[in-house]
Amino acid sequence: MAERNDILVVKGMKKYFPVQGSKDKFVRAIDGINFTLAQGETLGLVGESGSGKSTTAYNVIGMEEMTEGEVTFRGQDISMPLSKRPLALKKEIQIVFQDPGTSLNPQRTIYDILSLPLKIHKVCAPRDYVKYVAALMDLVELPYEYMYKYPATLGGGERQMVAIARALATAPSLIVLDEPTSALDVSVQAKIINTLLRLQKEMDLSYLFITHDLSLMRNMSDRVAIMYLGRIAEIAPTQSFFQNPQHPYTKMLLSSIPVVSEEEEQLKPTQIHSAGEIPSPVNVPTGCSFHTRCPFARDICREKDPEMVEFEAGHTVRCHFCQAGKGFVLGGES
Amino acid sequence: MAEARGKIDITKIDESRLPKRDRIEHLQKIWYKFSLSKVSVVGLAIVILVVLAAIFYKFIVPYPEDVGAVVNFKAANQPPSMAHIMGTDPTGRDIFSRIIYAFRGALKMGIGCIAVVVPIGGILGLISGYWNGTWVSNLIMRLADVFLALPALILVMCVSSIMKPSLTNAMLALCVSWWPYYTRLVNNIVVSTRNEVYIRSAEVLGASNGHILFREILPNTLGPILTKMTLDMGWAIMAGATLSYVGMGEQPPTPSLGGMVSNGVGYLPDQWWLSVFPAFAIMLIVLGFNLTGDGIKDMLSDTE
Repeated sequence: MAERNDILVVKGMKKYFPVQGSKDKFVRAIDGINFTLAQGETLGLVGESGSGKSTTAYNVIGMEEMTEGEVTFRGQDISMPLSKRPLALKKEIQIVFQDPGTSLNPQRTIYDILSLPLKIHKVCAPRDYVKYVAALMDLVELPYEYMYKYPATLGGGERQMVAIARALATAPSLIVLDEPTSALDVSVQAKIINTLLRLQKEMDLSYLFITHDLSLMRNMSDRVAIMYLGRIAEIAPTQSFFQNPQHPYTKMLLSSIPVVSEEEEQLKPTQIHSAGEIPSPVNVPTGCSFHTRCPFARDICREKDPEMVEFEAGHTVRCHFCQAGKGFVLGGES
Repeated sequence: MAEARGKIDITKIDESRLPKRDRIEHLQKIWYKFSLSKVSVVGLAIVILVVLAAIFYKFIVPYPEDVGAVVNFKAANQPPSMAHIMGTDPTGRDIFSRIIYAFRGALKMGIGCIAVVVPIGGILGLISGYWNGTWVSNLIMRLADVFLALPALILVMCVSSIMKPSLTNAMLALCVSWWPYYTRLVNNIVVSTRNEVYIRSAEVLGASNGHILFREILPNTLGPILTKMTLDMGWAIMAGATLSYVGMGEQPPTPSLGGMVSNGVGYLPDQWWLSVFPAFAIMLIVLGFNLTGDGIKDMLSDTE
């Protein structure tokens, strides 16, 4: 792990939202998570709705103030909210939101939108703004005719390209992708993903990629972290995550991907039926937060919160029954 | 570390291939949308005609001297004829000439109020909306509530009866009770726009408060403000006419539409032209602004 060039390190991040009307109740959106992200790497964050994946993104970017924990970017502490971060830092970390229909101001032209980061960060001389905007449009393969058009006249995929170009304008090193394709047609999703992959190579970008689409994750990510109720259940390199999942929750999710052919069926892990819904983050179950839905739950799961266990190098699992090197072994049974 | 990353190269951009910003085309589109409703075009035509008539009254009216304190008993109380198309009043002055001149007072009232109320109300609304939930916004909004509770016309009458009744005083009093409507309108838009994802995006990029307030949020408020302004022009003119009807607006001998209606009331129904034509003039001008305002509202509502 020593040779990894981690640019982002998240340690013990927590985000609690107060519940209105009751003093000591909190929504535990994120409940102590750790992860790292290397230069040029894509870390995928998956999870159901309400698992805290978007909140994690917003805390990394500083749109929300975290309750506890530490985030460092290239060794620099960035645990503070956006308003307290230096301008130079904002240049380095950018975000692409889910719905380009809402992330682009309808009253501003594409030129206005793309030249804003140039003006704020003085990327180039004012007389070069037009050229720079054109270069950005080339980067995401948008025709120049769109330059003075309003977002409403563009298609969904094209708008998302504008949002990506805006994020790239300051030549950042980390881009948070908050479900960048889930608001788009399937036909344009592939184009967006391919563009993102191409740009990552060209500009040596790191992505923190958030999605609930597991097959997309497989194509995009180098490593995958799966979140459940504000915690990371399992984090592993993509191949190991899909071929050798250890956590019962991961297995449950992977076995719920619909398949068509026999071969695909064989690739699936042991069938675990998905049961129930994710509990409310206000009343997180005691012990292991997944025990209410886990088919293997034992007494220990209801009482004791499991530790992160390193199953293989870079593959850690939060489960009582996961043993280093051996994987998932049910104790007490033979 | 930054050198290693692929930088954006602008040297290869061929400037001749870049499009030019075409503002005229944009205006043409706006006009096209507005012109879809024929009624609003009629309204706009009325407004333009009234404004032009008020500006160039000297060249339009047949008896420019009649706008002052002129007495000409030979021509008194004449019904509409070729010489006086709207008849004459009891001192022999041409009603048509006086109505055209009275447009000036009516427009002055409307434009004056709007020019004071919109910037003040708008800026207060921007501030209270942007810093929503802080003491600043609470102070502004509670103050607005207090002023909203004052009945506008009664306040105007109080002010006019304490100070000398005049058009300026009436206007000022109207403004005092009127700015909160704009503060509320703008406040509501800003509060809802504030949480839009594109504002978040601008914040992530590091945009200043000034930029977010005036470049990202303000353009979104202009449409509704424009609509309300146009509709309120009609309302202000109506209020001005009401005030001059009760003698608290423009003072004689300067003609005012409300004053002319009120002067003619005593001569009804025999000398009907004294009140009916000024009353029609009020109706026309208010109708013009209302139709235009509706047109603008429709034009903006289907921009998406």
